[in-house]
Formats: sequence, structure tokens, C-alpha cells
Amino acid sequence: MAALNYKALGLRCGLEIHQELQTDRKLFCYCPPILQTREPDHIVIRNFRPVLGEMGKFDEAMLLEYEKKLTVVYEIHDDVCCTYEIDETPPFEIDKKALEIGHIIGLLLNLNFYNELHVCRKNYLDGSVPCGFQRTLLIGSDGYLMVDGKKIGISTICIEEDAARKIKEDGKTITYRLDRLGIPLIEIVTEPDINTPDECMRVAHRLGMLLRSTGLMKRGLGTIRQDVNVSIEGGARVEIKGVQKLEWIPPLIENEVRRQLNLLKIRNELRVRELNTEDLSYDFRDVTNLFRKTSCKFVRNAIKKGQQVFVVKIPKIAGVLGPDLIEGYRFGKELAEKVTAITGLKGIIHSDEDLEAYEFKKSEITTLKKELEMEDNDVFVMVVADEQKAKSALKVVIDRIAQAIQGVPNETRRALENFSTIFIRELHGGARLYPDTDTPPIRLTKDYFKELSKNLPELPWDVAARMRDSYELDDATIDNLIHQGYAPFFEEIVKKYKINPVLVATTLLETLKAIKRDGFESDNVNETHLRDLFELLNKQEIAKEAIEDILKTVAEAPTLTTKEAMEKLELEAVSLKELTNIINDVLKKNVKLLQERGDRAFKPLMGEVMNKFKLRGKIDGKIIADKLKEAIDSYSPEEKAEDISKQLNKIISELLSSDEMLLNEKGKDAYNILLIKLKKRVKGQIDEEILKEKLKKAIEEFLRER
Amino acid sequence: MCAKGDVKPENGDVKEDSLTGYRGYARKKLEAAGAKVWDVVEIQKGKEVVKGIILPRPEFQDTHFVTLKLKNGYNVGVELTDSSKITVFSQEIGEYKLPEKEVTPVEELPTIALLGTGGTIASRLDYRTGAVFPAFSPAELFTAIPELEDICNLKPEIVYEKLSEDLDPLYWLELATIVYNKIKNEQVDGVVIAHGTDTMCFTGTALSFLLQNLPVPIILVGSQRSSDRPSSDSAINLINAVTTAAQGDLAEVLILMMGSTSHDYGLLHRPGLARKMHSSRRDAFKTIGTIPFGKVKDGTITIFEKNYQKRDKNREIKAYLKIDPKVALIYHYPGIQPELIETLIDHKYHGIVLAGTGLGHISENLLAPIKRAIEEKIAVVMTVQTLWGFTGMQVYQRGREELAIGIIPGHNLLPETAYVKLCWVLGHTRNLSEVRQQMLTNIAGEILNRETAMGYLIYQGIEPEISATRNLEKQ
Repeated sequence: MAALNYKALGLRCGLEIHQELQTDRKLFCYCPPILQTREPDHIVIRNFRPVLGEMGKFDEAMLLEYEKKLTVVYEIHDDVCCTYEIDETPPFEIDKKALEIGHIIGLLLNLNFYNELHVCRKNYLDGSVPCGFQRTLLIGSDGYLMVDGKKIGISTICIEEDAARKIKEDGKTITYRLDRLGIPLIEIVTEPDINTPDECMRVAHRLGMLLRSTGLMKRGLGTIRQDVNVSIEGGARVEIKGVQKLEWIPPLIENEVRRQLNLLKIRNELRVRELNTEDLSYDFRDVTNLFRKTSCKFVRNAIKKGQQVFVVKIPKIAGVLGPDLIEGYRFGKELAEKVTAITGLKGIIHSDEDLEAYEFKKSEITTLKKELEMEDNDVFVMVVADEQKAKSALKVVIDRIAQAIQGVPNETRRALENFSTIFIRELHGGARLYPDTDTPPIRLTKDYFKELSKNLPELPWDVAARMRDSYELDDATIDNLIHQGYAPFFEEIVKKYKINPVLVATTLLETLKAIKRDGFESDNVNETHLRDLFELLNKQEIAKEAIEDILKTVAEAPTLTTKEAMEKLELEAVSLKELTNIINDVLKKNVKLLQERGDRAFKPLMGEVMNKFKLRGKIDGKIIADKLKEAIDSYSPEEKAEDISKQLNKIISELLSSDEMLLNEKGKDAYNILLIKLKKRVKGQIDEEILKEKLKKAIEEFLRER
Repeated sequence: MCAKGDVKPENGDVKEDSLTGYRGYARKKLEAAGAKVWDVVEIQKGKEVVKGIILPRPEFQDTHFVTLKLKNGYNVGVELTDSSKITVFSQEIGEYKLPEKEVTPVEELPTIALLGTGGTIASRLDYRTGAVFPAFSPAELFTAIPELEDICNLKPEIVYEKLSEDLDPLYWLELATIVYNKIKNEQVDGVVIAHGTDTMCFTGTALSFLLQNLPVPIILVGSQRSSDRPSSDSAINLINAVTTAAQGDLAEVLILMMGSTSHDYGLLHRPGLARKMHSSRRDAFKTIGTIPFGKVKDGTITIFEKNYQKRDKNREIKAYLKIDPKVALIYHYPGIQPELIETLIDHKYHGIVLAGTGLGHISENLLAPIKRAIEEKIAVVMTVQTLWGFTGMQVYQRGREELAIGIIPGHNLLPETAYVKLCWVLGHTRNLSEVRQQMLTNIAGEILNRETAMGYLIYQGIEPEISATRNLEKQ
């Protein structure tokens, strides 16, 4: 494919970035902003009904959803959801910290602020917000960011609530988890000042860096989401949602440009063919009777189930639905996807595709074409469904063709992993917003802004330069620390504690990612957890080997403190004295091994010290190894063995005298009970055979003496 | 005693203000610029320029700001100072109209009168101002809730547009008269009253005394979430209420509200036994002292109550349309001062309902003024703050003292129910022994003689789906 000349095409891109903020509570209630992986405590089921929109009309997509009898299931976790999330309590006072973060970012982006903020409601009719709207506030407009010497305009910054997480969608039922609902988000919208796909990626990177470098953002997968707006000269603004990775941006834009170019080509072709909107009609025909005995199996079955076959004739568009808009993506497919998105109908059949694939008889198609009085350049579109749905589907088709005559429609589309996009909905205008009557306006004083300006965080590029001078870390690590938002925290830790900066960076950048790979919700690990972790390390209450297990435990049960997690894991550090005892015990029990292998006994003995006494994470592995080596070198088995036998004799005689009664009563039969008692007293430090032998002897002696 | 007075509900004849809600500095400034609400304006202050539509401003807010709707849809407050320059462009009046649907009556279906008194249920939202307006024409209702069409022929009528806290005893009386006419003269098959939830129990209780021997049901219904929310309870509640009024084989005054936070079922409550027990939840209404009257789910009505009056269109409705609003409801608390009671006596009150502690107790310093009140022919009724349970004034010394001075034990009557009932009884008699006798006579199911052993635990928000999944010890 030929490279595109974006300048000549008049490419304009804008970004919309949503990033969760690091706060102590949600935006309008006091729930902790934590995600949950365990089973929900409660389920609430709601039926969504269409609501009247601001223009006094029902939302059309919503009506169709309603016809599907949309049921929404909400999963609730008591510790992170209250009655606010389930729309049973009005909002509480807004989280001040979230607003402050918004203003700090606004200051870094040279924004003009409003000093009286009004909470607005933005309709969300897909069930992702139980009350049906997201609360959002515009805090400022008209800022800018310099990227590679170019000024990129920032249109607006808003602070808003995150929506619920969709867990599954199953026909008529959508399940959402409410933990994410209400977590504060910052929304940054740029002007469409970006002119190439690469530039768009750089701006997104730069903005992301700026946000994360402040250390005020939530970290982890899914905490930042970016949408890209794309338009070309003569095309239209298309919003691409759900761009998960920065690297996706250039190929997605390139594909969107090609899609728009090809849609424009189609428009031109339709102009040449003189197709006008008036040529299109909602003349939907029920042709079920023609297909009752069709050789196409799925149509036949559908009719048996009571569904109907509807067709519409579209004049002059033969050959238009077939060709690719982008590789592997035809205009016909785009039509079908839109039908699916709006009506839920699986697909459409049209005469611009290979109808033999459906196993229709040639005669069936000929009859149909005759019935529709089709001419060469005409196309029919067929759907199989109940009447109402079939008609809605064909209406979508006709309306989309009408749009094709005009060119590119304004749409919101979702990014797919192969860098193509899929229709979500027609692009909303600004009018979806209306005032929230449950919250008062927020008045901001000059002093408030003055105070914030005094303590602005450093810009990321300045932070990077300083960190390079201060720590022995490679550039990539520094960049990662900044981009992932750990830089301020990293510096706090290494300044406060004597811990190797590399260990701190590895823990933050690698270990958290590793436990996520193992299926632990690492996003639940907050800064307090991490701070406590490093403090325990610093006080040598844990060893670095314990880090991963503790983080996993905290990720699973975020309400635990790090110390509690440590206690739960029984990871209290082992003192050097305790270690010496453990090592001595292990050596005593492995006299044979030591005699046979000498120094080579180190490896199995090390294993036993680590595993049997669960020393992993309780004391630095290197210290264990050193001490063990030392002990092996200086160990003289004979001498020690004597010690034990002396001790053992003493223990046994004590035992016998304390259990005299038992012996008098049972004589030799007391052996079994006494053996159990003896084993408990020596705690497995002496070989059992030796114990049995000695005990037997001692009992015999005792009884004899008596 | 007051009969139905010349109470006229206000019809919102407020003088049109071109700068709604603006006062003080901002108003002066806007007036000087010739700007009105809904004008598109540009406000310039130094280098900053903001353009938008002037919105009406809620009262009681900072007087230096103007609320603008920006082109992107957001609202913001813009501070006006002496240096702000306001340029007026055009006007953009927001027009908000509900689509209307033709409704043709179906002969086989029952006819239900739907009376609107205000409140959340009968409202719709103006998206531009966030204000809530009444929405109650038949066409509007059928558009919003098409299911209603299949249940009955609905005859909606706006009676009041009132916040429910303003619906005082005189409104109860007038409303009863209207309902009486609907049943007696228009021969409807049932009445549904859309009412604000805050005081729905008061109005419902009053109606159950004012109108007796009913031939058809009277159902009060409300909503805790306005209908601009897709998960509002207004549709399900209206459908359940209308179903009960149209099809229920019963003839009582009942309240219908959602029984769980899920859109699952509605519960029917006798108003005298019901209470709004949560300030905002959909399932706020609970029957106190026993289990609810019944349940409505997906068009099916299940009645739990054993003793109730069945539907009989030939039964003659009786109206006892007298009410005496000179009654006070006093919540007792440690430290309460006797002047409170003295004041009521001085102001010639006719009745006092006390919400006492525990089994029905008041502090010692109230005994003297209460004694004086009763001597001055003021009826004093004791109820319990605990809501659940009966007065038990023979148990402790204080209770016996209270009985000795002539306080009427309110048995299981909820404080609010006792208040409404006393208003109604005093409307008919001031004779204290008659009052005592009437207060303790069951009229509309408000008096309970027994509380089932587990009544306290059933249907009080402990829903099966919750207890099944909930395991607090798990954590």
C-alpha cells in the first residue's frame, strides 16, 4: 500500500485521555477506590427503561435495548460499594483531593480555570452507571502543551466519575461490577492540532508522562484510557475509543484515514451514478413466503421458528458493498456491524456478496429479484428476524446508505486489536449534559489557586534529568519510574530508608507486574502498603525474599496492612541467634550426610534450612548461606552427639519420674504413651529409632529398680 | 374543628422573570447589558473570553456569578466584576415537549382514576435547567409507560402540584372529597394517588379514616428516583399500583412501593402500619409491627394479610369528612422542657401525641403540664419511639403514673398514625372518653392485637437473595 501524505490529506487528530486519580475515596462517596476480584457479596438486578432525552425524544438505541428487555445485574462488594453506587443515596460532598489534582494538572497545562464549578450529569444509558448518568465537572479550558516545539491546544479538563466494569454480556443480561464506579477520573481533551499518526502517539506519551510523573495518578492496567479523534479534509470527525496501548495509535489512525478515503471514493462513485437520498425508501417487503422451502438452512429454520424474511431494494449501488475499505473490511461488513450494534441482529445478507455461500437456490434469488423489479445496478439487502427487529435493521441499512451519499458519518468506533475499528454509536453532540440538582456549585477562591501554584510538581523531563544525576539507575528504569508514576514515591523511599535503589525500582516496576501475571490484582497494592513494606525491609523485619509473597497477599486482601500480611504469612524475621539454633539442629540430624559428603553437604542442607523452617523471606538468603557454611566448616559431629545423648538421658529420666503413677499402673505398656510424650519434648531433634531404644531401656531399668 | 376550607392549590401563576434566580450584583450587571435568561452571551474579562447561554440560577447562591451553558454542554459559573464585558447575541429558549400518544379507551378494561398530587413520581426533568416539572397528561404517561395501556383505562388528573411536606390535614380532607366523588359519582374501578413519598403514610392513613366501607381499592404510590433515570422506580411502582387498583380483589387504602432495591417486586402496606424508613432507598417503605399486606410481582398480586375487605362495587362508600388539625406530635427526649407542653395548652391545642421512650415513658417534669393539659380537655395519647412493639404502661412506675393522670395508651399505633387518627377523631368528638374509645378501636387495620413471633424479622429488608450470598464471616 502506498504511504499516505497526511499533510495533503489534511489529517487532524485530537486526543481524549481518561486517567484514574490516586485518592483516598471515590469522587462522590466515601468508599475506598479499590477493585475487587473475589465473589460479590450481593447482586442487585435492575431493568433499564428508556428515558426521555433532552429534546423530549426517547434515545433510539435505548428503545431498541428496551425491546430486548435489557436486564442489568450489578455485583456489589460491601467494602468498596455503598448505597450511593446503587443509586439509593444522593451524592456526598465532592472529594477535594480529586479536584486539587485536576487543578494541579490544569496548572501544568496552562489552563484557564473557572472559579465556580457546576456538577453536570452526562447520560450513560448502557447500564454502566446505575443512576443513568455520570457526574462530571468542567474545571477549565484553553490550555496547551508543548510537544517537540509545537503548541498542542488543550480544550478542556474535567473531573468525573469512572463507570462500572462490564463483567459479562449474555444476550439480554449485562453484568457490571460496581467497584470501579465513582473512582475519580481526569479527562483531558486536546484540540485537533495533531497532524500525523506518529505525532499523535508522541503527544499521548507526553501527556501520559506528565500525568503519571506527578505521582497523583492511579497506576496499573486500565487506569489510563485514551480515545483518538480522526478527521481528514472532506471526511468527518470519528472518535476511536478504547485505544489500549500507545503503539496502537499510529496504525489505528492510518487505517481510519484509509477508511475515510475509501468512503469518500464511494461517495464520489455514488455521485457519478446519480444516486440521491430521494431514491432510497423504507419500502421493506415481507418475502417470507418465497423462502419457506429455501435450501438455505438457517433461513428455513428461522422461518420455522416464526421469524420473517424482509428485504429492501437499494438502487444503483451494485459493486459498492464489496470492495475493502481497509484490508479485509468491506463496506458491506461495516453495514452489518452497524445493524448488529443497533438492533442486536447477527447479520445481513446482500446481493453484492457471494450468495452461494448461503446455499440459496439460483431460482430463489431470480424470483426475488423479479419480485423487487431489480435492475442491474440495484442491490437487495435481506434480514431474517421478527418483523419489528427486521424493519429496524433495514432502516439502519437505508440510513447508512443515505449517509454514504454524503460521505463519512460522524461516529464513535471502538479500536480492535487488529487496528481496525467497529461502530459503537453515532457521535453525541454536547447537549447530552444537564445540570446535577443534587450538588451545590463549588466556589474556588484566588487563595486556593495561589496555594496550589506554590507546590506544583516538577515536570517529568526535569525529573528525569535530576534522577539521572542522583541515582545509579539506567535511563530506561528512570523513564519507567516516571511514566508509571512511581518517581516521587521512589525518591521518597530511597531518601528515607537505606535500601538499594535498584531493589526499590525492581519492586515497583517488576515485582508488581510479575504478581499481576500470576493473577493477583496488583492495582490493589497502594502506596501505604509499599511504604510499610520498605520500612519493614529497612528495619530488617523481613528479608527481600518476602516481598513477592507479601505483595500477593496484600493484592488479594487489600484491607490488610503490610504488617498484617507479614504476620498472616508467618514471615516475622528470624534473628541471627535463632538462625544459629536452626542450623545446629539441622546439622545434628544430618550427621551421616555431613560425614559422607563434607562440604558438598551444603546444598541439601541449605534446602532443608530454607524449607523445613520456612526461612524464605524471613532472613536474607545470603546470610543463611554464610552462616551455614561457617557451621559446616566448624562442625565436629562426635562431640555434639555425646551432648545430645547426655541431654536425652536426662530428659528421659525426668519423664519417667514425672509419670511414675502411669508406670506403676501399666508397667511396660506405658511405653507407647511415654514415647509420644518424649517425642514432643525433643521436638524431632533426635532420630526416632534412638529414642525408642533409649526409652525401652530406661523403662526396663526403672521397673527393675522398683 | 375545620371542614373543608377554601384551600386552593397554587397553579404556579408566578410572574415571569427574565432573570430567574439572579439577585444583587450579577442581576444589576446583566440588566445593564440587557441580558436575559436563555440569551447567548460572551463575557470578556481581560484576555479570557467565555461564551455560552445564560441559565436560570438557583436561588441562595453567590450573587456575583452568572451560570453559563457552554457549547460543549457543560455548565460553569462565571464571576462578574466591574471589568467584565457582556455582549448579548441571540436567544435560545430551550423547548422541551413530551411526545404525545393517542389513547383510546378499551371497554373491557377497568377504569382507574389517577390523581397527581406532586412529588417525584409525577415529574419529568428539564434537561437545560435540571428543574423538575409535573408530567401527567394521559398522553405523556402512556408514552412514558406504555404497559399501563394494557392494564386499564386511565383517567389522570392533576389535583395538586405540591411537595408532600406541604400537604397538611386540610389537603387530606379535600383529597378525600375528590376521591369520594371519583368512586361515588364517576364509579371508577379503583383510584391511584401519585404522592410524594415523604408524607405518603400521613395522607394514606388519613384517607383510610376519612373514607370507609370502600367498594374499590385506593392505592397511594410514589417514587424515590425521578423518571429521568433509566433505573427509576416510578414505572415499576405505577405499573404495580395500577395493577392493584385495577385487578386486586380488595377494597382498602394501601401504599405500594418497591420491596427490594432490585427491580423485582412491589410491596403493599396498610398506611397506618407503614413508615418510610430510609431517606432515599427505593425500598424505603416498611410495614411496622407485622408483615406487609401483600406483594405485587409481574402482574400477580399476592395478599399476605388474612383479614381484609374484598372488592364489591355495590358496597356504599362512607365518608367521615371532618378533621381537627389542632394536634401536636411531640417526640420525647431526656432534657425536654415543660414549657413545650405549656405552650400547647396556652395555644388551645386539642390533642397531643407523645412519642415516648421504651414502653411509653416521659420524664417526671412533664407529668404536671400533661396533667394540666388533660384537665383542660386536651386528649393526650402515648406512643412508642421504638416503633416496633406496644405501649406497656403498667410495667414501670412511670407508666402507671402516666395512666393515672389520664394519658391514653396508644397500643401499637405508630406516632404518625396516632397523630393522624387523633386529628380525625377530634374532628368528630372532643369528649375525652369517646376519644379514648375511638383511638383504641380498629378502623382501617391500624390497630394490631398480636405480633407474630417472627414478624419483626420477615420482609424487613432481609431479602432471600441477599441472605443467600451474604456471609460476613467469610471476610
